[in-house]
Amino acid sequence: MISYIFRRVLLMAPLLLAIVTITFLLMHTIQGGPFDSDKPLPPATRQRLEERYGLDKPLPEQYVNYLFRLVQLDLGISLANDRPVRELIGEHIVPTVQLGLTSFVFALAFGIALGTVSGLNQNGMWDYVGAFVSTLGATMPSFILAPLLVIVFVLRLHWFDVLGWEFMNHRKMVLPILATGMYPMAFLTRITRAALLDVLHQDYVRTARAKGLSEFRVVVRHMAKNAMIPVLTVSGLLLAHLITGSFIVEQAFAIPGTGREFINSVLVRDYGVMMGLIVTYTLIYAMMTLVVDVMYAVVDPRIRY
Amino acid sequence: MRNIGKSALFAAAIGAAIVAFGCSSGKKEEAAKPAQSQPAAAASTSDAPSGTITIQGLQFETWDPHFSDFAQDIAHFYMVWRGLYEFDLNSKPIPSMAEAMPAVSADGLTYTVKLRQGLKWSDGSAITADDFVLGLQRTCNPDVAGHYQYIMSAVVGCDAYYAANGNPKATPPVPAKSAAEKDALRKAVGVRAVDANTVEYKLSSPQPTFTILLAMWPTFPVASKKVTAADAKWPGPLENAYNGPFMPSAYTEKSSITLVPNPNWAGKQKAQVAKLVIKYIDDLSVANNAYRAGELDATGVNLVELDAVQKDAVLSKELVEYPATRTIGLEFNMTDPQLSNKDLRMALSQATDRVTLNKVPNKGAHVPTTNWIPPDRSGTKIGTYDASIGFDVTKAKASLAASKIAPADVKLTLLLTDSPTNKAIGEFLQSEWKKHLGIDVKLEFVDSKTRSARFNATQFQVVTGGWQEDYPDPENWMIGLWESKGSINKTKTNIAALDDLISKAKFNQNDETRRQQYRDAEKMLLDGVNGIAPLWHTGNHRLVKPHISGMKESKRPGDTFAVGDWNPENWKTSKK
Repeated sequence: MISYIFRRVLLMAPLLLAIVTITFLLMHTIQGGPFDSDKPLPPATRQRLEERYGLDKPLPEQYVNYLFRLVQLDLGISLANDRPVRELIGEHIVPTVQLGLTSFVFALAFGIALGTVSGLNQNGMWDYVGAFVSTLGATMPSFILAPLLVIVFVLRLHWFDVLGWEFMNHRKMVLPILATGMYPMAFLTRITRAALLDVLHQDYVRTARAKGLSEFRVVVRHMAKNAMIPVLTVSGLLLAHLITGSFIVEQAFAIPGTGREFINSVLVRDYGVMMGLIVTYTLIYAMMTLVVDVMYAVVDPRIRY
Repeated sequence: MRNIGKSALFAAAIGAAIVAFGCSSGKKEEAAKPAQSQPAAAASTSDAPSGTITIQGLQFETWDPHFSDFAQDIAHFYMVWRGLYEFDLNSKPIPSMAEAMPAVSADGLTYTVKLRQGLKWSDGSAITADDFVLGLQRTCNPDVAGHYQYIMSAVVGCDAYYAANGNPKATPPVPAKSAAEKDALRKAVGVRAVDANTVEYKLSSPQPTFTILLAMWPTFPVASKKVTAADAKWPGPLENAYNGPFMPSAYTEKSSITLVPNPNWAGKQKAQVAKLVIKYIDDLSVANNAYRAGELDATGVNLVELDAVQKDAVLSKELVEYPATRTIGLEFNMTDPQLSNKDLRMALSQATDRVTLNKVPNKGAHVPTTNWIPPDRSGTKIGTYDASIGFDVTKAKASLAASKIAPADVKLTLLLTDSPTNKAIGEFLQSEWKKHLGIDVKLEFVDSKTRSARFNATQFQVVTGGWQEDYPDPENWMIGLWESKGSINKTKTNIAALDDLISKAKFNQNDETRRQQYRDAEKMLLDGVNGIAPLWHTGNHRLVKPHISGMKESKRPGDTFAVGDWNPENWKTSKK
């Protein structure tokens, strides 16, 4: 297992190199640069700015310089606000990860609970409740859900705030979590229900019941454990997706996270931030995939690397 | 049924735990808040600053006044720093750190300014003439790469110092200067401290607007205790020293900045609010919801909701509307084979119904115009050019006929930045020109940076664009923009008589005749629809809670993100 993990970590290097190269090329292919603005800059000013950020160098030289800095964990300077990108990402990733993790916990807790209740009561009232909630969550995109939540819970009921994110402050946490977590929750509900129905009539479940085990033990120790494999598969990627930020939710609640930062960096051609976030996201996704693969072996003893 | 009960109970327990966790933690946070509050306003006298004003703003891009040209940055700068002069509510320069207006030599080339006695930075150190010398040297420093260096071109040696890094792309390449040569060029910049309290500026040619420049951020002083040399790194908000009415006490990037009164602010009007919080929100629909929910005391209006705000019984009373110093129009590429035809440009301008354009796609947000320079700056009445280039279908048809280009042969593409409003504007113009002139114009929507890149490279035929004033003078609407060799003349307008007139006005020390020359230049520009057919002057639309005073009263057309944001010391709140 250790050697497997080591191999996978090593394989991240070529993956990262490929993604950095493709992004670097695409980034410089699109028209419009960081110093193109509605108010044109005089040529001398533009030249000074390009010098300041090393953009006056030929593209291959810029690429090699970037790679050289990257191996030293230096992500360069943000062209939009003149600060080290590593420092910037370090600040912005905090609310994004907090929001992503809490939304994930919400989605996991309610998704698995609702999916389990639905699965155990196929075609019963609770199954319809689960289907209704999950359909609602799956069909309502966050760009509709977020403003809707604001209108109802902020402007009408005054229960929560519109602006910002503050960890451990429910007035600023609940709505962003709901807007972020509803879709994954709905998704996990459906996956859990389907997985549970799959194991419901398996021989080992019948055997467990025949042994006289309590229903709670049958569900938790025999059914849920086996039904968790597909849930685990999607959970890993869902978590990666959630902790890399949502532009829409961060924009809707003015949360200074990386999701908003990433889209803005593309719009303003902030090459440093764009590349830095791509590198960070790549590492997060690669790590989460690895964690999921390792977790398979933990949950299912038949899987060995 | 038992199973369902347990599962449901399990789900409910998790949900309750999350809600309880959120609620209890929220309470804890509220309880902890007083400990985190800012230093309280000094005394509880009636003059002591009191209350908090929270406004919507845009995140500044850089905190360095000698580097930046972004409007949101500049609004921040005026809250915490001031120059030798500042602008009064009529945008006229008045002494700020200076004792009086500058003493100008007879040839107009030397400006001598005495500082007020006893000036101090927020950290208690003395403000001296050297701080102003270093400020201007930073603006001219090629390594700082100041965006606004070009407005200081009249200062002796500023351009030469700015060019010290050479130009490898020039033919032949210009080598960079050595460190010693660069230092010599820095010292040669025409600014010096005559004594600790006197600054002297030397110009290479007279610039009648130089006092205005001494009120602007590129000439702001530097706290030499914090920034020891022209090359030194510029400290961030919480590390710097300030000489303006407020100073930062807390800052979270992309979230908010909190400003508190600067105890050493030397202005007559002391800060009147104990805490000024700027929340960084770039989506105005979010900001408007926050304003409605009471989380903001002032915000810009989301133009999509403008008509709803105007009809709202409460919000309409809190709405402040006034023109900005920004003009938007149709910019023509004067080197395009078809658009070099004056009559075709004239036809397009005359076939554009500016009033309906403003009413429908722009939702009445702006002021329709045919003027280039806003009337406040030029002294020309709005509508002066309506008769020549304004909406008139008969004249438009006659102009198209005079162009000798058949409608079917007109091949034009209008370039716009992709946005819902611009889509509506593009489609409106397309239908107007089809209806009145019978010509088919293609629309091309691109993202903002692509549009700017295309404009900067003059890779367009017609584009919607314009100008936002840098400083309150008509010269800022002409110099660089419309001279044939102007550094930002991207329409490639090339009129020898206009060049001549602008260069005369530029050095004219008689303010009255100088202003008349700019009015004549504007007429010359517009009568031939050279490079631009103005469409509207942008409107400012802000919401301000009734408990605030001093904001509306301090409004100026240049306000960037809050009403009266260049004079926050005038703001006051009755909310406790």
